[in-house]
Amino acid sequence: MNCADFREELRRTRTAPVSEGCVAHAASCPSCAFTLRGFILLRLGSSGDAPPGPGPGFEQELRSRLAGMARDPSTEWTLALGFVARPALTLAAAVFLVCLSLQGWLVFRSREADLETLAQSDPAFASLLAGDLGNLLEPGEAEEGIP
Amino acid sequence: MGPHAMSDECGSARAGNADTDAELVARAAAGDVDAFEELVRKWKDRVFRLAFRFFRRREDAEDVAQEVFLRMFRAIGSYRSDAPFEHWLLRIATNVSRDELRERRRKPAVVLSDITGEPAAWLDRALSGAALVAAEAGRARALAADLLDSLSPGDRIVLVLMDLEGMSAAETAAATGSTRGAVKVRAMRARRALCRLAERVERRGR
Repeated sequence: MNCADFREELRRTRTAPVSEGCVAHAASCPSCAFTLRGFILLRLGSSGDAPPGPGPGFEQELRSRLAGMARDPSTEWTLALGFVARPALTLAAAVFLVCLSLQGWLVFRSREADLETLAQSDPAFASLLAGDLGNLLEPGEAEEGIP
Repeated sequence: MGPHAMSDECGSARAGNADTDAELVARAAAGDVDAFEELVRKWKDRVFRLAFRFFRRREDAEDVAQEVFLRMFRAIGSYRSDAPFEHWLLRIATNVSRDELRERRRKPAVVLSDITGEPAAWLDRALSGAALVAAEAGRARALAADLLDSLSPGDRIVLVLMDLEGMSAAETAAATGSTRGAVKVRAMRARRALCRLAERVERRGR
């Protein structure tokens, strides 16, 4: 048996015992021995002694759990929320982003308007914009050259 | 779906019944309790046996199977009949199992520290392919199950589906909500992790 045969044999023996040929090959091939140990570990820990199905009370228990679930109003809420949770979250996030952008735009616009009003109503600001420092200082100070 | 070991195990539950399953699901989604119960009757053994691969106590496997059918009941309206019902159901089963395995996961070092002396030697012999007497075999199986609890739940699910249930990468991808490529990579990585774990037992058994 070569390594390819060994792998093929292992693939086919999911339920049957590992063949003597595989064990013999693994004894002479460290790489396949490594694989065989892993495979047996998986099989040993995951199969064997499996009952053919659940016990006789399985369906009855499921029926009562389903009945309990239907009676529990919180479950109905959870179910209802479950259906809408993802779309609602997405929508909420989108609305939040739109509101944030709108708010930013409005603030920007109102600041622009304030600047315009200030220039019209405040002579000192208007003179500053015009590059005339005379109106920023008291008449006396301007004459004395106080900065 | 191609022929694989799952066909042997499901037997009558699968053979040529794809339309029937879709019809039952449609009726169950419309509120027909009998149709839902018929689905449970058809698939309970399959779901239970898969759960038993991960949780070796009968009660635990039954609890997991119950949870699978409860989730199936809640989500039955979301089933689309363009995919096999079995894939959809197995996806729920692997999700429930993954959640449960995550809660039970233990560190390899902690599990290995419990495996000492004779049990380590039995397990080592079993992993080499040697036959064990019944009592030793039972104990070795329990130790092996403990060791598998230290694997990543996702790795373990892929290993069980592919290497024990005989599912292809495409079927495993459908049953785990992954892609074929991702499943192949994960299977390769998981097999390596499994072999390394077995190697650590070898060191303890000597």
